[in-house]
Amino acid sequence: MNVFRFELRRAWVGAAVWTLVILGLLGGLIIGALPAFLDSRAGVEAMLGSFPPAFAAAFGLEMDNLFSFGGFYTFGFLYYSLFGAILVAGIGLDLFSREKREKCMDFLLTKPRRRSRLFGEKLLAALTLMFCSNALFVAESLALYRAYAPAPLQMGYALLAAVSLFFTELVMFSIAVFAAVFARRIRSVSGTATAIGFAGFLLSALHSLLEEAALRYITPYQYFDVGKAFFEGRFETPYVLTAAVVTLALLALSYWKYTRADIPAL
Amino acid sequence: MGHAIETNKLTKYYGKARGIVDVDLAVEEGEIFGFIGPNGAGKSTTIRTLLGLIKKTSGNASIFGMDCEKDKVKILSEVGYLPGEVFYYDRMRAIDLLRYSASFYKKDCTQRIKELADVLSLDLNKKIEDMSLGNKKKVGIVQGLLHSPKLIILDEPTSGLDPLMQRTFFDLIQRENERGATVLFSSHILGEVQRICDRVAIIKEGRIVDLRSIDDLRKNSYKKVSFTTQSPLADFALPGAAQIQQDGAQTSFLYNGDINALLGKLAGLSLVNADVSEPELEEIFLHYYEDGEANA
Repeated sequence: MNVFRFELRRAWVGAAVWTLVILGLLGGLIIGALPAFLDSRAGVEAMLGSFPPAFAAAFGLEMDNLFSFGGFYTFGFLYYSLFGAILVAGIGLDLFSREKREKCMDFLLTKPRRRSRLFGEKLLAALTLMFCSNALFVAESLALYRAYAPAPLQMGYALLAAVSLFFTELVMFSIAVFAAVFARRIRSVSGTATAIGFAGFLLSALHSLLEEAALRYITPYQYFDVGKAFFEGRFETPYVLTAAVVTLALLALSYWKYTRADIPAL
Repeated sequence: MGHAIETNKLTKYYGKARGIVDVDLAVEEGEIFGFIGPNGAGKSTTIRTLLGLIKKTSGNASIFGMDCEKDKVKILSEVGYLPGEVFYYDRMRAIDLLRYSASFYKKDCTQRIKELADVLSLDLNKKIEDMSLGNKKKVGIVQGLLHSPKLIILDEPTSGLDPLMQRTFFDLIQRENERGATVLFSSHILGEVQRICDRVAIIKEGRIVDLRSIDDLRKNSYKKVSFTTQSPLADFALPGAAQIQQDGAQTSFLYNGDINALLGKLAGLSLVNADVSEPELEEIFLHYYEDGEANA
Protein backbone atom coordinates (compact mmCIF):
# COMPACT_ATOMS: atom_id res chain seq x y z
CA MET A 1 0.00 0.00 0.00
CA ASN A 2 2.98 2.30 -0.43
CA VAL A 3 1.49 3.97 -3.51
CA PHE A 4 -1.74 4.60 -1.58
CA ARG A 5 0.18 6.28 1.25
CA PHE A 6 2.37 8.24 -1.18
CA GLU A 7 -0.64 9.60 -3.07
CA LEU A 8 -2.47 10.51 0.14
CA ARG A 9 0.55 12.40 1.43
CA ARG A 10 0.90 14.37 -1.79
CA ALA A 11 -2.77 15.17 -2.36
CA TRP A 12 -4.30 15.76 1.05
CA VAL A 13 -3.44 19.45 1.40
CA GLY A 14 -5.21 20.47 -1.82
CA ALA A 15 -8.20 18.36 -0.89
CA ALA A 16 -8.30 19.88 2.59
CA VAL A 17 -8.30 23.44 1.23
CA TRP A 18 -11.25 22.84 -1.12
CA THR A 19 -13.12 20.95 1.60
CA LEU A 20 -12.75 23.97 3.87
CA VAL A 21 -14.10 26.19 1.09
CA ILE A 22 -17.21 24.00 0.75
CA LEU A 23 -17.72 23.72 4.52
CA GLY A 24 -17.30 27.48 4.87
CA LEU A 25 -19.78 28.20 2.11
CA LEU A 26 -22.36 25.82 3.62
CA GLY A 27 -21.91 27.27 7.10
CA GLY A 28 -21.90 30.84 5.79
CA LEU A 29 -25.13 30.40 3.82
CA ILE A 30 -27.08 28.60 6.55
CA ILE A 31 -25.79 30.45 9.62
CA GLY A 32 -25.22 33.84 8.02
CA ALA A 33 -27.89 34.17 5.31
CA LEU A 34 -30.77 31.80 6.12
CA PRO A 35 -32.15 33.67 9.21
CA ALA A 36 -32.17 37.00 7.36
CA PHE A 37 -33.84 35.38 4.38
CA LEU A 38 -36.55 33.81 6.56
CA ASP A 39 -37.15 37.16 8.30
CA SER A 40 -38.06 38.78 5.00
CA ARG A 41 -40.75 36.14 4.44
CA ALA A 42 -43.55 38.29 6.01
CA GLY A 43 -42.90 41.08 3.52
CA VAL A 44 -42.88 38.77 0.52
CA GLU A 45 -46.01 36.96 1.73
CA ALA A 46 -47.88 40.23 2.32
CA MET A 47 -47.13 41.15 -1.25
CA LEU A 48 -48.37 37.75 -2.40
CA GLY A 49 -51.57 38.25 -0.30
CA SER A 50 -52.54 41.20 -2.48
CA PHE A 51 -52.68 38.88 -5.52
CA PRO A 52 -55.75 36.76 -6.32
CA PRO A 53 -55.88 33.61 -4.14
CA ALA A 54 -55.51 31.26 -7.11
CA PHE A 55 -52.33 33.01 -8.13
CA ALA A 56 -50.89 32.76 -4.63
CA ALA A 57 -51.86 29.11 -4.46
CA ALA A 58 -50.11 28.45 -7.72
CA PHE A 59 -46.91 29.71 -6.19
CA GLY A 60 -47.67 28.59 -2.65
CA LEU A 61 -45.91 25.29 -2.63
CA GLU A 62 -42.73 26.65 -4.12
CA MET A 63 -42.75 29.61 -1.79
CA ASP A 64 -43.18 27.23 1.14
CA ASN A 65 -40.14 25.29 -0.06
CA LEU A 66 -37.97 28.29 -0.65
CA PHE A 67 -38.68 29.78 2.75
CA SER A 68 -37.49 26.73 4.57
CA PHE A 69 -34.23 25.14 5.55
CA GLY A 70 -34.64 22.53 2.78
CA GLY A 71 -35.39 25.06 0.06
CA PHE A 72 -32.45 27.18 1.00
CA TYR A 73 -30.15 24.17 1.35
CA THR A 74 -31.20 22.98 -2.11
CA PHE A 75 -30.58 26.45 -3.56
CA GLY A 76 -27.00 26.40 -2.23
CA PHE A 77 -26.35 22.92 -3.55
CA LEU A 78 -25.51 24.08 -7.05
CA TYR A 79 -22.50 25.87 -5.59
CA TYR A 80 -21.48 22.99 -3.31
CA SER A 81 -21.63 20.81 -6.42
CA LEU A 82 -19.45 23.23 -8.35
CA PHE A 83 -16.77 23.41 -5.65
CA GLY A 84 -17.08 19.70 -4.95
CA ALA A 85 -16.58 18.98 -8.64
CA ILE A 86 -13.47 21.18 -8.76
CA LEU A 87 -12.17 19.38 -5.66
CA VAL A 88 -12.63 15.86 -7.02
CA ALA A 89 -11.62 16.72 -10.58
CA GLY A 90 -8.42 18.06 -9.04
CA ILE A 91 -7.88 14.83 -7.14
CA GLY A 92 -8.60 12.66 -10.19
CA LEU A 93 -6.38 14.67 -12.51
CA ASP A 94 -3.60 14.99 -9.95
CA LEU A 95 -3.34 11.33 -9.00
CA PHE A 96 -3.87 9.79 -12.41
CA SER A 97 -1.67 12.16 -14.43
CA ARG A 98 1.06 12.55 -11.79
CA GLU A 99 3.68 10.40 -13.51
CA LYS A 100 2.72 11.73 -16.94
CA ARG A 101 3.02 15.37 -15.79
CA GLU A 102 6.23 14.89 -13.92
CA LYS A 103 7.67 12.62 -16.63
CA CYS A 104 8.36 9.73 -14.29
CA MET A 105 6.24 6.98 -15.81
CA ASP A 106 9.46 5.00 -16.27
CA PHE A 107 10.18 5.29 -12.56
CA LEU A 108 6.84 3.96 -11.36
CA LEU A 109 6.16 1.43 -14.10
CA THR A 110 9.50 -0.34 -13.79
CA LYS A 111 8.79 -1.09 -10.15
CA PRO A 112 7.69 -4.64 -9.34
CA ARG A 113 4.01 -3.84 -9.17
CA ARG A 114 1.20 -4.69 -11.58
CA ARG A 115 -0.34 -1.69 -13.30
CA SER A 116 -3.76 -2.87 -12.15
CA ARG A 117 -2.52 -2.65 -8.57
CA LEU A 118 -1.08 0.85 -9.14
CA PHE A 119 -4.42 1.96 -10.59
CA GLY A 120 -6.24 0.38 -7.65
CA GLU A 121 -4.09 2.06 -5.00
CA LYS A 122 -4.45 5.45 -6.68
CA LEU A 123 -8.21 4.97 -6.90
CA LEU A 124 -8.39 3.97 -3.26
CA ALA A 125 -6.36 7.04 -2.22
CA ALA A 126 -8.67 9.31 -4.23
CA LEU A 127 -11.82 7.71 -2.80
CA THR A 128 -10.40 8.01 0.71
CA LEU A 129 -9.88 11.75 0.26
CA MET A 130 -13.36 12.15 -1.22
CA PHE A 131 -14.88 10.09 1.56
CA CYS A 132 -13.22 12.16 4.29
CA SER A 133 -14.25 15.42 2.63
CA ASN A 134 -17.85 14.23 2.31
CA ALA A 135 -18.01 12.83 5.83
CA LEU A 136 -17.31 16.37 7.05
CA PHE A 137 -19.86 17.86 4.64
CA VAL A 138 -22.56 15.41 5.74
CA ALA A 139 -21.75 15.96 9.43
CA GLU A 140 -21.96 19.73 9.04
CA SER A 141 -25.17 19.50 6.99
CA LEU A 142 -26.88 17.35 9.60
CA ALA A 143 -25.66 19.51 12.48
CA LEU A 144 -27.02 22.64 10.76
CA TYR A 145 -30.26 20.84 9.94
CA ARG A 146 -30.72 19.95 13.63
CA ALA A 147 -29.91 23.50 14.68
CA TYR A 148 -31.88 25.48 12.09
CA ALA A 149 -34.74 23.36 10.74
CA PRO A 150 -38.05 23.30 12.64
CA ALA A 151 -39.43 20.02 14.07
CA PRO A 152 -40.40 17.42 13.01
CA LEU A 153 -36.96 16.52 11.64
CA GLN A 154 -36.59 13.98 8.84
CA MET A 155 -32.98 12.96 9.47
CA GLY A 156 -33.12 10.21 6.82
CA TYR A 157 -34.15 12.63 4.10
CA ALA A 158 -31.57 15.21 5.16
CA LEU A 159 -28.87 12.55 5.12
CA LEU A 160 -29.82 11.42 1.61
CA ALA A 161 -29.74 15.04 0.41
CA ALA A 162 -26.29 15.62 1.91
CA VAL A 163 -24.89 12.37 0.51
CA SER A 164 -26.02 13.33 -3.00
CA LEU A 165 -22.96 15.58 -3.18
CA PHE A 166 -20.72 12.51 -2.94
CA PHE A 167 -22.61 10.81 -5.78
CA THR A 168 -22.34 13.87 -8.01
CA GLU A 169 -18.65 14.07 -7.15
CA LEU A 170 -18.14 10.44 -8.18
CA VAL A 171 -19.43 11.26 -11.68
CA MET A 172 -17.18 14.32 -11.97
CA PHE A 173 -14.23 12.35 -10.57
CA SER A 174 -14.61 9.66 -13.23
CA ILE A 175 -14.61 12.35 -15.95
CA ALA A 176 -11.36 13.74 -14.53
CA VAL A 177 -9.70 10.30 -14.31
CA PHE A 178 -10.67 9.64 -17.91
CA ALA A 179 -9.18 12.96 -18.98
CA ALA A 180 -6.00 12.32 -16.97
CA VAL A 181 -5.42 8.88 -18.48
CA PHE A 182 -6.38 9.65 -22.08
CA ALA A 183 -4.97 13.17 -22.54
CA ARG A 184 -1.50 13.22 -24.02
CA ARG A 185 -0.51 15.79 -21.44
CA ILE A 186 -2.12 17.75 -18.63
CA ARG A 187 -0.64 21.22 -18.38
CA SER A 188 -2.31 22.42 -15.20
CA VAL A 189 -4.28 20.32 -12.76
CA SER A 190 -6.07 23.24 -11.09
CA GLY A 191 -6.89 24.90 -14.43
CA THR A 192 -8.30 21.74 -15.96
CA ALA A 193 -10.19 20.87 -12.76
CA THR A 194 -11.80 24.32 -12.68
CA ALA A 195 -12.74 23.96 -16.35
CA ILE A 196 -14.39 20.59 -15.69
CA GLY A 197 -16.27 22.04 -12.69
CA PHE A 198 -17.54 25.06 -14.62
CA ALA A 199 -18.51 22.95 -17.63
CA GLY A 200 -20.81 21.03 -15.27
CA PHE A 201 -22.12 24.33 -13.89
CA LEU A 202 -22.87 25.70 -17.37
CA LEU A 203 -24.69 22.52 -18.40
CA SER A 204 -26.75 22.77 -15.23
CA ALA A 205 -27.61 26.43 -15.92
CA LEU A 206 -28.51 25.57 -19.51
CA HIS A 207 -30.77 22.78 -18.34
CA SER A 208 -32.58 25.08 -15.84
CA LEU A 209 -33.02 27.72 -18.50
CA LEU A 210 -34.28 25.53 -21.34
CA GLU A 211 -36.10 22.96 -19.16
CA GLU A 212 -35.34 20.43 -21.86
CA ALA A 213 -35.72 16.98 -20.27
CA ALA A 214 -33.26 15.22 -22.56
CA LEU A 215 -30.55 17.70 -21.60
CA ARG A 216 -30.65 16.42 -18.04
CA TYR A 217 -29.04 13.16 -19.12
CA ILE A 218 -25.83 15.03 -19.86
CA THR A 219 -26.03 17.30 -16.81
CA PRO A 220 -24.12 15.57 -13.99
CA TYR A 221 -25.13 18.15 -11.34
CA GLN A 222 -28.77 17.25 -11.97
CA TYR A 223 -28.45 13.45 -11.87
CA PHE A 224 -29.16 13.53 -8.15
CA ASP A 225 -31.96 16.01 -7.45
CA VAL A 226 -31.21 17.22 -3.95
CA GLY A 227 -34.72 18.75 -3.58
CA LYS A 228 -36.35 15.40 -4.29
CA ALA A 229 -34.02 13.77 -1.77
CA PHE A 230 -34.71 16.38 0.91
CA PHE A 231 -38.50 16.61 0.57
CA GLU A 232 -39.39 13.16 -0.74
CA GLY A 233 -36.47 11.00 0.38
CA ARG A 234 -35.70 9.61 -3.07
CA PHE A 235 -33.75 10.08 -6.29
CA GLU A 236 -35.10 9.49 -9.81
CA THR A 237 -34.08 6.07 -11.07
CA PRO A 238 -33.33 6.89 -14.75
CA TYR A 239 -30.83 9.58 -13.76
CA VAL A 240 -29.27 7.48 -11.01
CA LEU A 241 -28.76 4.73 -13.57
CA THR A 242 -27.27 7.21 -16.04
CA ALA A 243 -24.86 8.41 -13.37
CA ALA A 244 -23.85 4.85 -12.51
CA VAL A 245 -23.31 3.87 -16.15
CA VAL A 246 -21.31 7.02 -16.96
CA THR A 247 -19.11 6.64 -13.87
CA LEU A 248 -18.42 2.94 -14.28
CA ALA A 249 -17.86 3.21 -18.03
CA LEU A 250 -15.36 6.07 -17.68
CA LEU A 251 -13.48 4.32 -14.88
CA ALA A 252 -13.45 1.03 -16.78
CA LEU A 253 -12.09 2.69 -19.93
CA SER A 254 -9.46 4.52 -17.88
CA TYR A 255 -8.43 1.25 -16.22
CA TRP A 256 -8.20 -0.45 -19.60
CA LYS A 257 -5.97 2.30 -20.99
CA TYR A 258 -3.82 2.66 -17.87
CA THR A 259 -3.03 -1.05 -17.66
CA ARG A 260 -2.28 -1.53 -21.36
CA ALA A 261 -0.83 1.64 -22.83
CA ASP A 262 2.66 1.65 -24.31
CA ILE A 263 4.87 4.08 -22.45
CA PRO A 264 6.99 5.87 -25.07
CA ALA A 265 10.54 6.97 -24.34
CA LEU A 266 10.84 10.65 -23.48
CA MET B 1 25.11 -20.70 -16.83
CA GLY B 2 21.64 -19.77 -18.02
CA HIS B 3 20.60 -16.75 -19.96
CA ALA B 4 19.82 -13.57 -18.08
CA ILE B 5 18.05 -12.17 -21.15
CA GLU B 6 16.83 -14.10 -24.13
CA THR B 7 14.78 -12.77 -27.01
CA ASN B 8 13.53 -14.71 -29.96
CA LYS B 9 12.39 -12.87 -33.07
CA LEU B 10 11.25 -10.04 -30.83
CA THR B 11 9.35 -7.53 -32.95
CA LYS B 12 7.65 -4.25 -32.16
CA TYR B 13 5.78 -2.01 -34.55
CA TYR B 14 4.27 1.30 -33.47
CA GLY B 15 1.28 1.19 -35.76
CA LYS B 16 3.02 0.88 -39.10
CA ALA B 17 6.27 2.44 -37.93
CA ARG B 18 9.17 0.07 -37.38
CA GLY B 19 10.43 -0.31 -33.82
CA ILE B 20 12.45 -3.53 -33.86
CA VAL B 21 12.29 -6.56 -36.15
CA ASP B 22 13.23 -10.16 -35.31
CA VAL B 23 15.66 -9.25 -32.56
CA ASP B 24 17.49 -12.30 -31.22
CA LEU B 25 19.58 -11.69 -28.14
CA ALA B 26 21.08 -14.05 -25.59
CA VAL B 27 22.79 -12.35 -22.66
CA GLU B 28 24.63 -14.78 -20.37
CA GLU B 29 24.26 -14.48 -16.63
CA GLY B 30 27.15 -12.54 -15.15
CA GLU B 31 28.35 -10.77 -18.29
CA ILE B 32 28.37 -7.11 -19.22
CA PHE B 33 26.64 -6.99 -22.53
CA GLY B 34 26.87 -3.97 -24.76
CA PHE B 35 24.05 -2.91 -27.01
CA ILE B 36 25.11 -0.38 -29.52
CA GLY B 37 23.60 1.46 -32.42
CA PRO B 38 22.85 4.96 -33.63
CA ASN B 39 19.90 6.92 -32.25
CA GLY B 40 16.60 5.54 -33.45
CA ALA B 41 18.03 2.11 -34.21
CA GLY B 42 15.78 0.36 -31.68
CA LYS B 43 17.88 0.11 -28.52
CA SER B 44 15.33 1.78 -26.29
CA THR B 45 12.45 -0.09 -27.92
CA THR B 46 14.17 -3.40 -27.12
CA ILE B 47 14.86 -2.34 -23.55
CA ARG B 48 11.35 -0.99 -22.98
CA THR B 49 9.85 -4.21 -24.29
CA LEU B 50 12.02 -6.19 -21.88
CA LEU B 51 10.85 -3.96 -19.02
CA GLY B 52 7.18 -4.28 -19.92
CA LEU B 53 6.83 -0.56 -20.64
CA ILE B 54 5.68 -1.37 -24.16
CA LYS B 55 3.99 -4.46 -25.51
CA LYS B 56 5.72 -6.56 -28.16
CA THR B 57 4.03 -7.11 -31.51
CA SER B 58 5.38 -10.64 -31.86
CA GLY B 59 8.22 -12.92 -30.79
CA ASN B 60 9.36 -13.78 -27.30
CA ALA B 61 11.36 -12.13 -24.56
CA SER B 62 12.39 -13.65 -21.27
CA ILE B 63 14.52 -12.61 -18.33
CA PHE B 64 15.98 -15.30 -16.05
CA GLY B 65 13.77 -17.77 -17.89
CA MET B 66 10.58 -15.86 -17.05
CA ASP B 67 8.29 -14.32 -19.65
CA CYS B 68 8.63 -10.54 -19.81
CA GLU B 69 4.89 -9.95 -19.97
CA LYS B 70 3.41 -12.74 -17.86
CA ASP B 71 6.01 -12.65 -15.08
CA LYS B 72 6.69 -8.94 -15.21
CA VAL B 73 6.36 -8.29 -11.49
CA LYS B 74 8.73 -11.10 -10.50
CA ILE B 75 11.24 -9.98 -13.12
CA LEU B 76 11.12 -6.31 -12.13
CA SER B 77 11.93 -7.14 -8.51
CA GLU B 78 15.32 -8.39 -9.78
CA VAL B 79 15.95 -5.60 -12.29
CA GLY B 80 17.49 -2.18 -11.83
CA TYR B 81 16.90 0.30 -14.63
CA LEU B 82 18.62 3.57 -15.40
CA PRO B 83 17.17 5.56 -18.31
CA GLY B 84 19.10 8.09 -20.34
CA GLU B 85 17.17 11.04 -19.01
CA VAL B 86 15.99 10.99 -15.43
CA PHE B 87 12.89 12.78 -14.20
CA TYR B 88 11.36 12.51 -10.77
CA TYR B 89 8.48 13.91 -8.78
CA ASP B 90 8.51 17.62 -7.93
CA ARG B 91 8.86 18.87 -4.39
CA MET B 92 10.81 15.85 -3.20
CA ARG B 93 14.18 15.44 -1.57
CA ALA B 94 16.47 12.76 -2.98
CA ILE B 95 16.16 10.70 0.19
CA ASP B 96 12.33 10.75 0.05
CA LEU B 97 12.33 9.62 -3.56
CA LEU B 98 14.82 6.85 -2.79
CA ARG B 99 12.82 5.68 0.21
CA TYR B 100 9.71 5.60 -1.93
CA SER B 101 11.62 3.63 -4.55
CA ALA B 102 12.92 1.22 -1.87
CA SER B 103 9.40 0.68 -0.53
CA PHE B 104 8.59 -1.36 -3.65
CA TYR B 105 11.14 -4.04 -2.78
CA LYS B 106 10.87 -6.56 -0.01
CA LYS B 107 14.20 -5.71 1.57
CA ASP B 108 15.76 -3.02 3.69
CA CYS B 109 17.76 -0.77 1.37
CA THR B 110 18.68 1.98 3.86
CA GLN B 111 22.32 0.99 4.22
CA ARG B 112 22.75 0.51 0.49
CA ILE B 113 21.30 3.95 -0.27
CA LYS B 114 23.80 5.52 2.09
CA GLU B 115 26.74 3.58 0.63
CA LEU B 116 25.87 4.48 -2.96
CA ALA B 117 25.29 8.14 -2.09
CA ASP B 118 28.72 8.22 -0.42
CA VAL B 119 30.47 6.69 -3.43
CA LEU B 120 28.80 9.19 -5.77
CA SER B 121 29.09 12.11 -3.28
CA LEU B 122 25.40 12.83 -3.53
CA ASP B 123 23.63 15.10 -1.03
CA LEU B 124 20.49 13.16 -0.16
CA ASN B 125 18.76 16.02 1.62
CA LYS B 126 18.63 18.29 -1.40
CA LYS B 127 15.45 18.71 -3.41
CA ILE B 128 15.75 16.87 -6.72
CA GLU B 129 14.34 19.75 -8.77
CA ASP B 130 17.14 22.01 -7.46
CA MET B 131 19.84 19.58 -8.57
CA SER B 132 22.11 19.82 -11.61
CA LEU B 133 21.62 17.34 -14.43
CA GLY B 134 24.61 15.33 -13.21
CA ASN B 135 23.28 15.10 -9.66
CA LYS B 136 19.82 14.08 -10.88
CA LYS B 137 21.58 11.34 -12.79
CA LYS B 138 23.27 10.24 -9.59
CA VAL B 139 19.87 9.95 -7.92
CA GLY B 140 18.91 7.77 -10.89
CA ILE B 141 21.95 5.57 -10.40
CA VAL B 142 21.24 5.08 -6.69
CA GLN B 143 17.58 4.46 -7.53
CA GLY B 144 18.55 1.78 -10.04
CA LEU B 145 21.00 -0.01 -7.77
CA LEU B 146 19.59 0.36 -4.26
CA HIS B 147 17.89 -3.06 -4.21
CA SER B 148 21.04 -4.90 -5.39
CA PRO B 149 19.40 -6.13 -8.60
CA LYS B 150 20.53 -9.30 -10.39
CA LEU B 151 20.12 -7.59 -13.75
CA ILE B 152 21.05 -3.98 -14.39
CA ILE B 153 19.69 -2.34 -17.53
CA LEU B 154 21.36 0.91 -18.54
CA ASP B 155 19.95 2.93 -21.43
CA GLU B 156 22.48 5.58 -22.51
CA PRO B 157 23.47 6.05 -18.88
CA THR B 158 26.43 8.39 -19.15
CA SER B 159 24.80 11.47 -20.67
CA GLY B 160 25.05 14.33 -18.19
CA LEU B 161 27.90 12.79 -16.20
CA ASP B 162 31.27 14.50 -16.27
CA PRO B 163 34.28 12.33 -17.20
CA LEU B 164 35.35 11.88 -13.60
CA MET B 165 31.88 10.78 -12.56
CA GLN B 166 31.66 8.52 -15.61
CA ARG B 167 34.70 6.73 -14.31
CA THR B 168 33.19 6.35 -10.84
CA PHE B 169 30.02 5.10 -12.50
CA PHE B 170 31.86 2.48 -14.58
CA ASP B 171 33.74 1.33 -11.46
CA LEU B 172 30.43 0.99 -9.66
CA ILE B 173 28.91 -1.04 -12.49
CA GLN B 174 31.98 -3.26 -12.64
CA ARG B 175 31.76 -3.86 -8.90
CA GLU B 176 28.10 -4.79 -9.24
CA ASN B 177 29.12 -7.17 -12.00
CA GLU B 178 31.79 -8.77 -9.79
CA ARG B 179 29.08 -9.21 -7.16
CA GLY B 180 27.25 -11.32 -9.73
CA ALA B 181 24.95 -8.87 -11.49
CA THR B 182 24.40 -9.13 -15.22
CA VAL B 183 24.52 -5.81 -17.06
CA LEU B 184 22.85 -4.76 -20.29
CA PHE B 185 24.47 -1.54 -21.38
CA SER B 186 23.05 0.39 -24.29
CA SER B 187 24.94 3.25 -25.85
CA HIS B 188 25.67 4.98 -29.11
CA ILE B 189 29.25 5.62 -28.07
CA LEU B 190 31.54 2.77 -29.12
CA GLY B 191 34.35 3.71 -26.76
CA GLU B 192 32.10 3.43 -23.71
CA VAL B 193 30.97 -0.02 -24.64
CA GLN B 194 34.51 -1.17 -25.43
CA ARG B 195 35.56 0.04 -22.02
CA ILE B 196 33.49 -2.31 -19.89
CA CYS B 197 31.62 -4.85 -21.99
CA ASP B 198 32.41 -8.50 -22.63
CA ARG B 199 30.29 -8.83 -25.75
CA VAL B 200 28.40 -6.40 -27.88
CA ALA B 201 25.38 -6.58 -30.17
CA ILE B 202 25.10 -4.00 -32.90
CA ILE B 203 21.63 -2.87 -33.90
CA LYS B 204 20.75 -0.89 -36.97
CA GLU B 205 17.34 0.09 -38.28
CA GLY B 206 15.60 -2.24 -35.85
CA ARG B 207 17.66 -5.34 -36.62
CA ILE B 208 20.71 -6.90 -34.98
CA VAL B 209 23.44 -6.70 -37.60
CA ASP B 210 26.31 -8.18 -35.64
CA LEU B 211 27.22 -9.81 -32.36
CA ARG B 212 30.84 -9.92 -31.29
CA SER B 213 33.13 -10.24 -28.32
CA ILE B 214 34.90 -7.03 -27.45
CA ASP B 215 38.26 -8.74 -28.08
CA ASP B 216 37.11 -9.60 -31.55
CA LEU B 217 35.90 -6.06 -32.07
CA ARG B 218 39.26 -4.72 -30.97
CA LYS B 219 41.12 -7.03 -33.31
CA ASN B 220 38.92 -5.90 -36.11
CA SER B 221 38.74 -2.36 -34.98
CA TYR B 222 39.02 0.27 -37.62
CA LYS B 223 41.04 3.42 -37.24
CA LYS B 224 40.15 6.59 -39.00
CA VAL B 225 43.30 7.95 -40.62
CA SER B 226 43.71 11.26 -42.36
CA PHE B 227 46.84 13.12 -43.37
CA THR B 228 47.97 16.05 -45.47
CA THR B 229 51.08 15.92 -47.60
CA GLN B 230 53.18 18.78 -48.90
CA SER B 231 52.14 18.05 -52.46
CA PRO B 232 49.16 16.03 -53.66
CA LEU B 233 49.74 12.27 -53.85
CA ALA B 234 49.21 10.64 -57.20
CA ASP B 235 47.96 7.38 -55.79
CA PHE B 236 47.69 5.99 -52.30
CA ALA B 237 47.34 2.32 -51.52
CA LEU B 238 47.91 0.28 -48.40
CA PRO B 239 46.73 -3.24 -47.51
CA GLY B 240 43.92 -2.89 -44.92
CA ALA B 241 42.90 0.59 -46.00
CA ALA B 242 39.34 1.05 -47.15
CA GLN B 243 37.18 3.94 -48.34
CA ILE B 244 40.27 5.87 -49.46
CA GLN B 245 39.36 9.42 -50.30
CA GLN B 246 41.81 11.91 -51.80
CA ASP B 247 41.15 15.58 -52.06
CA GLY B 248 44.16 17.56 -53.21
CA ALA B 249 46.91 17.13 -50.66
CA GLN B 250 44.54 15.51 -48.15
CA THR B 251 44.01 11.76 -47.94
CA SER B 252 41.68 9.91 -45.57
CA PHE B 253 40.66 6.27 -45.12
CA LEU B 254 39.55 3.63 -42.62
CA TYR B 255 42.33 1.27 -41.64
CA ASN B 256 42.11 -2.24 -40.31
CA GLY B 257 45.51 -3.89 -40.03
CA ASP B 258 48.94 -3.77 -38.42
CA ILE B 259 49.49 -0.35 -36.94
CA ASN B 260 53.26 -0.61 -37.60
CA ALA B 261 52.66 -1.08 -41.29
CA LEU B 262 50.51 2.05 -41.26
CA LEU B 263 53.10 4.12 -39.45
CA GLY B 264 55.84 2.78 -41.68
CA LYS B 265 53.92 3.85 -44.73
CA LEU B 266 53.23 7.30 -43.33
CA ALA B 267 56.87 7.75 -42.31
CA GLY B 268 57.83 7.49 -45.96
CA LEU B 269 55.72 10.48 -46.91
CA SER B 270 56.50 14.10 -46.38
CA LEU B 271 53.61 15.05 -44.10
CA VAL B 272 52.21 18.40 -43.04
CA ASN B 273 49.65 16.89 -40.67
CA ALA B 274 48.36 13.47 -39.62
CA ASP B 275 45.50 12.25 -37.51
CA VAL B 276 44.65 8.71 -36.37
CA SER B 277 41.39 8.41 -34.42
CA GLU B 278 38.48 6.15 -33.49
CA PRO B 279 35.90 6.19 -36.25
CA GLU B 280 32.37 7.33 -35.52
CA LEU B 281 29.84 4.60 -35.17
CA GLU B 282 28.19 5.70 -38.38
CA GLU B 283 31.41 5.15 -40.26
CA ILE B 284 31.66 1.63 -38.95
CA PHE B 285 28.09 1.02 -39.97
CA LEU B 286 28.91 2.22 -43.43
CA HIS B 287 31.26 -0.68 -43.47
CA TYR B 288 28.53 -3.10 -42.51
CA TYR B 289 26.60 -1.96 -45.50
CA GLU B 290 29.54 -2.42 -47.82
CA ASP B 291 30.22 -5.87 -46.36
CA GLY B 292 26.60 -6.74 -46.92
CA GLU B 293 26.75 -5.63 -50.54
CA ALA B 294 30.03 -7.47 -51.09
CA ASN B 295 28.53 -10.69 -49.75
CA ALA B 296 25.35 -10.36 -51.76
